[in-house]
Amino acid sequence: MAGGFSEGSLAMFTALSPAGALTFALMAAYLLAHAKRMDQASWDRVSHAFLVPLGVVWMGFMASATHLGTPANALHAFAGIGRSPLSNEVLCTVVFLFVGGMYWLYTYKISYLKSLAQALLVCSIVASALMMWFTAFAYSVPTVPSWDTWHTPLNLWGLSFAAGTALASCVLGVLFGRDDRWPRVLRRISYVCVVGVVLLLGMHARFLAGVENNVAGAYQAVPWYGVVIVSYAAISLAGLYVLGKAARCEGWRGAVMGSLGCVLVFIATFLARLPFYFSYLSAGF
Amino acid sequence: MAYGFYFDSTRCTGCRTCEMACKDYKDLPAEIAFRRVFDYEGGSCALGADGTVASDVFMYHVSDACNHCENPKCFAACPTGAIEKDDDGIVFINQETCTGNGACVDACPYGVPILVKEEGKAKKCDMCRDRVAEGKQPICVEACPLRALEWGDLDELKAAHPDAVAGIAPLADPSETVPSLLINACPAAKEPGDTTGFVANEKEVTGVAAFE
Repeated sequence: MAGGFSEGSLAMFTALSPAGALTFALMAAYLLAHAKRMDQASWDRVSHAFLVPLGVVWMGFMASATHLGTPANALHAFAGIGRSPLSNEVLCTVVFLFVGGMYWLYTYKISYLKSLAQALLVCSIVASALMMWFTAFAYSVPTVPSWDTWHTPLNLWGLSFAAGTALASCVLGVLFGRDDRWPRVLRRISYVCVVGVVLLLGMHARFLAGVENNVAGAYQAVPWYGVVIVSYAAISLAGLYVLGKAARCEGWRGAVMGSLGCVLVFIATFLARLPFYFSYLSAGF
Repeated sequence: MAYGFYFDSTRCTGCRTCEMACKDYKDLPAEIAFRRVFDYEGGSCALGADGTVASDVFMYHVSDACNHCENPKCFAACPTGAIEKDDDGIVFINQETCTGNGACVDACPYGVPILVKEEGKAKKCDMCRDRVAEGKQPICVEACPLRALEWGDLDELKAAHPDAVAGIAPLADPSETVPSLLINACPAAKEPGDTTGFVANEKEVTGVAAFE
């Protein structure tokens, strides 16, 4: 891979889908935590809002499909399950979308079994965790030393937590307003994650300086890594600030501002994914 | 049984006849080569106080195609199972099921598979399977004017060349994939992973020049 821009669609996938899956899991956890005292109308409102994280995961998934030269053969991607990290990643994403989508559709029934809905939510949380796990390890290729490092899964999880908690905070904030504790707490967690991610990206940049093969060094491909880290911090913190402002607004104004804040956080996440793809360096050449 | 290549770096002059024969036989476009010849160079000259010149300059060529590894990383990485290894140890890409996702390109430490964007497929050396099936040698082996390339049953090649090694710079560490490759290392040859030299024809053989 001569340049990371050819992997832009994968950067899009890894920026959107794991974060969307985490948002789904957090919203599911919210429902399960409030299952006993939540009225049916509120439950349904949250359930129908699962369209947002599902849409985010789906957008990322579609972006990754554009990475294929021959999308018509995409179903063959299941042939390598267990052997190919990419197949495992695709399978987990499909399973998550299936289980999450099942739950979302199920709650559109006029009457439905709450216990079955809760079971589907638990399955969705497990599926989202598996998806995040296998996506993070999809790049564990021993012959690519710049990718086969502990930084890779930690960076992905950090970025997903920062964006996922921000999106969950936004959705729950729009649904329940300033009186609910969860959006506020999730936004604070997102702030902490952003700081953690900045530190992780810094460590990754430092690590790359020592990775080289016969013809090049990994850091040569990303001399602008520092600019990306600063940009990530600035844009995502701006996004969280807007999200915080949105929490104080009612109605459509809060929704628009919240969405803007989330878009900023996701733009920052996408930017932060690019150096990873640019830093590809084989053990050979 | 597994077929493999033997490369004699003491004979290779870097003429690229192997590469050209392959391109011609496989009808490859200008920008694609399944077999590539690396020019590996290094060292320096220093003028001593007594006016004499001390030199540790070295230079040699390495002709390399797919090494049809015993443990092919491309095979392990391919999500669609498009990369297969047949009973003769030949690793090939099934063009019907390849999606062109590039996982094999990333995983191969020899930089062998090539993603052909126009076709949306990955391609690489298949050890001239069609010729092998007819009892012939791969075209690169047959074309080499210096007889620096040999091909055959790997065990027989090992018996014929007991001093051969599995890798020299700039090729990757052979322990990663266990290539079906034997090399007679010339006196100038460096160990895999060597950083004292450089690939002098980088733009010709790798995509790394795009980093600059």
